[in-house]
Amino acid sequence: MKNKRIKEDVQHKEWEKSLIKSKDFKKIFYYNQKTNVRFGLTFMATLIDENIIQDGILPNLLEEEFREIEDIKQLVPVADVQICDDPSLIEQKLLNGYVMLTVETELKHFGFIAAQKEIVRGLSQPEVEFSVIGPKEAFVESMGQNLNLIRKRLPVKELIVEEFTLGSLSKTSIAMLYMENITNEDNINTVRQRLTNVKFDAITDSSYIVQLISDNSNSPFPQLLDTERPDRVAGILAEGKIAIVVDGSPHVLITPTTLVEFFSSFEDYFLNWLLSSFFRLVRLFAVAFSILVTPIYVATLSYHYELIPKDLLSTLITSRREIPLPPILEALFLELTIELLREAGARLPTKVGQTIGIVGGIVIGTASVEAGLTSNVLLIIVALAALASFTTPVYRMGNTIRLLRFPFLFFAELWGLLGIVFCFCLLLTHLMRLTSLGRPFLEPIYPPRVTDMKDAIIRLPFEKQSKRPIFLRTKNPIRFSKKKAEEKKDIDE
Amino acid sequence: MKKLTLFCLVLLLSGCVEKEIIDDINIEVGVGYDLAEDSKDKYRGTVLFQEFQPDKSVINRTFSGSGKLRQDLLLEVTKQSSEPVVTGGMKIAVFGPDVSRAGIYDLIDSFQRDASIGARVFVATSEGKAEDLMKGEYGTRGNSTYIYNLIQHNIAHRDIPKTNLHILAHDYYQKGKDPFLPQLKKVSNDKIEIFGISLFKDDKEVDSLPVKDMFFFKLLVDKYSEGNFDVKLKKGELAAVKSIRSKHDIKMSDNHASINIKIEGIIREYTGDELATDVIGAVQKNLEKKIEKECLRLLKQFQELGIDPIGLGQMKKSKQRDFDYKKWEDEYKTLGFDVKCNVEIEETGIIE
Repeated sequence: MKNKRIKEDVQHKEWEKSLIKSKDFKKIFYYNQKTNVRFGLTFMATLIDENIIQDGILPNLLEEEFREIEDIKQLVPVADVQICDDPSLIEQKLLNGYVMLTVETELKHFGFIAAQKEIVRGLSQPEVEFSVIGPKEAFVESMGQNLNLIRKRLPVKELIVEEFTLGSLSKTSIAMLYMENITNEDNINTVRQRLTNVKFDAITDSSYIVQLISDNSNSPFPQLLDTERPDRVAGILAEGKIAIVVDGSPHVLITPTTLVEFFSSFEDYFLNWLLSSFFRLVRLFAVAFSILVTPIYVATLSYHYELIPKDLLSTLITSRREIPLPPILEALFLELTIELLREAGARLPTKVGQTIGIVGGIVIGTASVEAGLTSNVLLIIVALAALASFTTPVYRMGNTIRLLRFPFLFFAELWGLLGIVFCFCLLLTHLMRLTSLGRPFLEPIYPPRVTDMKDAIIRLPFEKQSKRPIFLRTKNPIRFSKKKAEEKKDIDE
Repeated sequence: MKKLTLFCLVLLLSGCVEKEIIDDINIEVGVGYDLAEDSKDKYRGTVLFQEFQPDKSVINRTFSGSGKLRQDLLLEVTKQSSEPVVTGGMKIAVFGPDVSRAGIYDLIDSFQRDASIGARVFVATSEGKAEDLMKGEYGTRGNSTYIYNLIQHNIAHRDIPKTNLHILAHDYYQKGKDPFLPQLKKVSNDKIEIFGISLFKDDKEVDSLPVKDMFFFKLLVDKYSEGNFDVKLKKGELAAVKSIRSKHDIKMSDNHASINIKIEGIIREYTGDELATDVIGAVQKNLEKKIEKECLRLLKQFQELGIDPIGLGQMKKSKQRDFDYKKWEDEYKTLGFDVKCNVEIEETGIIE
């Protein structure tokens, strides 16, 4: 009996030993005014909301009749009040923002009162995925707030939120969201398994999860889509995809995803289908243009002068006449300048930085043309290519595209157009092998799925979108029954 | 490791591709061939280059050389050029009269073998020496562009039938059809004009058609999309028929070829008083008659020369299973022709 007591005391001290070193660890004792019971409050001052202690806990515990620990359930006006007798929980609870209550007469029992201080940034407009039309809400860093934004849009019981705690140090809460009656069970299990298998000490953002659970972490292509728009998450949940919300990150992950989804902005759904299809095509063209145009310039000027139309030939030759560098060095010089400007612009504090960066780019470009380092034709091409790469709605993919240009440039210099074709084959092979959650990344282009084309390269009207994407293998592939949908009627009919 | 070695080997192979950076090469944009005066060298070639000036103007530069083969000419030209000479930019090739009479096949063959020479190069003959033609100063965009555009717009809108290196080679190799080429003439140092059509038998020029026959020649071998012809009426009035669209249809029977030409056009200019319906009828009639007469004359002329630029033999060959080319050559000498023309005037402009 004595031994046990000592053991407990030792254990008791064990959790206190390191915490007591911290300045924000507080342990205060009070006497109840009516019963004269001595009780103690232990908490981390930086994690808890002092108002809860001052207004909710202390007045009641001091003034009302308080005899034993069970009484706090009646006395404290806080929803999350627990009583347990396992001392191993203490450390974790304290660090999660609970106030521990101990009563002198019952040392084996501990009461925990939730008093977390929630510092929530106010809702702001989406900055990366801004859209002129449509909701202006964006996710914030607090998971509770983010889940609230999603649940508000899908108020059905089938929306399941499964929670995980990952990171041996960061103890980050991560929620997996899916529709119980729609989402494919295999997909759910894969995500669940991948999340539980994550071994990393500090997960501070959803980007960590992207890299930790993607199918091929050596690929330059992101295999999980991240978004800051709650409406987009609600939309993809209804399609049968899975969303992963990470506490502390304003970006929610979407999986499984396909390549074309990275080039579709959520604004596409707010516009008429003709317009949005056109914009999607423009974006896809911009991607191809951005990757290929500088390599084609280098290849044509170095190897294939025959391909240049006779009227363009004079323009190209006169613009290159004074340039001492071969086309490849000229192109690399300008491409790297643009990359420098972009990187510098990203590091500058405000958006003004970016504007200055672009202006600076034009100034530097013009100066380098005047100095005879680069040709003005190439300057136009590189600037357009950079511009085109910024049309990609998903920032992560935009970066990939800018990187892809360099291997293409290398092969263009090596073998001309043949090299570009060779590099394209490599890229295509890689994309065909790539999977997102085990589902083909290039779908619906390869494997060809004609029915999924309705919302890929173009977007057909909603009336045609009666089925969910095939590659998701949903439990319920029908979004709405076309037969039951009534014809649009005029009111006077 | 294996993959890495393979990749490195692939990189080593890159030395095999020849690099031709556009501002470090001399692009041959046109070439003219004559026979060399010295009989040992067969050809004398004049290669045309353009030099682009910073103010976007073009200087024409020509280098001449002689040799038995086209490659010899290029070697000679390379000796004079400051940068390596490449042939991929060639737009026009002109043959002088003595070369075209002696045969152009060797040079055409060499063009065909050169992978960097496109199939849409224009080939033409010249009335005078090709070297002189190349050495003019035409237009502001360079000689080759000038000559190229001259031929191109005359094919599209005027009386030159469609022609290029591909068609020339096709006609040459096609049994039962003889090639023809447009003929150019240097008028002055800054002017070139179309002088007619050179007619070939195999690869040798045998005759040429003057400009006034080119309209009828094109009606026979090609279709018009935008032609122009002046019709003379009995009282001496003139009517200009414009926007002519034409189609021809050739039917071959045993020893007879009947050619049907259909023309649609509009009257744009008329020198008489009133363009009444009967005048339009007269224009149609006169045009029909004129075309029938002239075309028949041309056909007879070809028959006498023993050439077949229209491709009647080829037409027959494609329709007849047991076609015997030897027999056809004899048959062609006695072949009968008839030409029927149908002219339709669609409108006469916005006033009566």
